[in-house]
Amino acid sequence: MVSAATFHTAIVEITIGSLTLAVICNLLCLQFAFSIPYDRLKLSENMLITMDRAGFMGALLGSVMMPLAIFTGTLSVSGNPAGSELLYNKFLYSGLAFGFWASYLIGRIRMGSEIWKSKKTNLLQVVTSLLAFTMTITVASIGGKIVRNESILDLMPFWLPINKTVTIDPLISALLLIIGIFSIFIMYRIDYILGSKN
Amino acid sequence: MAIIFVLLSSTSFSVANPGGNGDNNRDFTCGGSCHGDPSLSANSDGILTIEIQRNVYASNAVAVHVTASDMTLSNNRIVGIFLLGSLNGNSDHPSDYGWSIIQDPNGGINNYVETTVSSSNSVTLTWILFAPDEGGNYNLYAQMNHGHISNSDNLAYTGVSDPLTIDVQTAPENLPGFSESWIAPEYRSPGDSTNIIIMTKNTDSIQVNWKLEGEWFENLANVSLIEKDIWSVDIPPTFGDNVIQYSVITSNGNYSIKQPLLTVGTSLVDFEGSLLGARLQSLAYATIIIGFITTLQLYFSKLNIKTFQQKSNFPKINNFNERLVKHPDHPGWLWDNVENKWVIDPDNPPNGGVIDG
Repeated sequence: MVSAATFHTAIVEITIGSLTLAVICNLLCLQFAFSIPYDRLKLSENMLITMDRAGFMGALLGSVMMPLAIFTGTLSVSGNPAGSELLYNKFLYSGLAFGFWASYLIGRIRMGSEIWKSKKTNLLQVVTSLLAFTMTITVASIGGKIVRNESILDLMPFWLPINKTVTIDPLISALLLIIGIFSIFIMYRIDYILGSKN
Repeated sequence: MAIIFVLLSSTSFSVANPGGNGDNNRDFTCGGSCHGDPSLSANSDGILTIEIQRNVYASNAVAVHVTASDMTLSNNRIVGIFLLGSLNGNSDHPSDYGWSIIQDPNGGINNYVETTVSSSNSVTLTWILFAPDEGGNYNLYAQMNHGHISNSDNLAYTGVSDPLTIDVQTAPENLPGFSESWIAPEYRSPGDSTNIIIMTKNTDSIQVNWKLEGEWFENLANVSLIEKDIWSVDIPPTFGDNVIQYSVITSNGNYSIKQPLLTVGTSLVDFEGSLLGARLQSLAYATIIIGFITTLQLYFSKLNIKTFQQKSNFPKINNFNERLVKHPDHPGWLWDNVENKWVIDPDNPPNGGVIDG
């Protein structure tokens, strides 16, 4: 019988690997809209299209694996967030990471590779994936802190707080959840109405 | 690639636990861990001494002081120190030799504790033990595990003290002391004013003096008898990192024994987060972010379409001009390529704009 901790390790490696690939490809996709001064670093149109597709597939695979990583992580770690700010933060940063990656994917699916052609949407997409990656490695670092009491982020001079957290009353969280869902619904409705007019 | 190279370069390949492993009950070298494996470990350059008060009576409390000094540590300056009954690698816990831990240096009841060493490079840790029930000679050892600041071979460093042989004397009849079933409290909640309960044996009265750690002035605590050999001691509540040290003098008609100094710390404020709260808050954050960013995507993309449409209207005007062609044989007239007919040139109307009557 293989323990949940072993599954968790394997799934986390797939998730982090895919998302790392995605964020690197997305950074290179900046060249769709922004010219760079060094000709040697310029990528061809075909290469940029490949970067776009690789970034998309990496983010898709990572986002699909993320809930599995959270699930196996919950099974493999004893204790619950009721007693630890570190574990509570792991939940919160997982939510943030999932939110950013999902936003990235929604944008890419709705607008296709055209999203890279405009400077504003290109920058928004790159910043979204960078924030998503930051949240993802913060979650992974919390795992290292719990198991080994150290993480690679200890090398950084500063990082997002992981030992202190902000707790919101579940009722307010539920209200925020409804507002979030409602805002997504409204956004799609407006998009539909504008699409019909055009 | 450069980032990955830097990260890998700063990574230790040791399989030890540079961040510490937490207080616990462990055998010598953790029973054959990195610090015990000759291929993975090296001798510490530090000095480890172990001391005990002179008269040790069976089944009575005794303080054991372990001092570690002059060792070269890693950047985090963590050292782990063991109190052991032997150096076999198994069954080395003092309890295997009849000792019982009342309190370890960090307030718990472990034989292995971790501490951070100050810049003085010396630390003294005190275990409060119950001596074995039987008189005789007993050995105690101290061991320390730590890292090293220049550790190119990634070795786990370890040092062992000389054995301290203790002559445990049979206790005189009716010697007052702590009850063997009593465990000293480790922490109290912040602001907790609940009295500390002390259990004794052969004791008619106790006197408790307390002081804040680091201060010299001692205060006399109020003591009340709950029932025979169970005492309630009024020690003021504490907050934050405050630690109270207290000493107990147990007395009866024949003896008055000053027991080893004990400590009680302040626990961290209980974290009030719940599993449901964490899940809801996490989902709320996710949906709010999705809502916000996808709205921004929509706004920017519509802005682009508008700009594109404005740009694409401009060529239409130019095209409109291009479809009207001047002809040298028909001054004042333009040929419309789309409608295939002559139209008046607004800039140069035929006959100077005068219409024949």
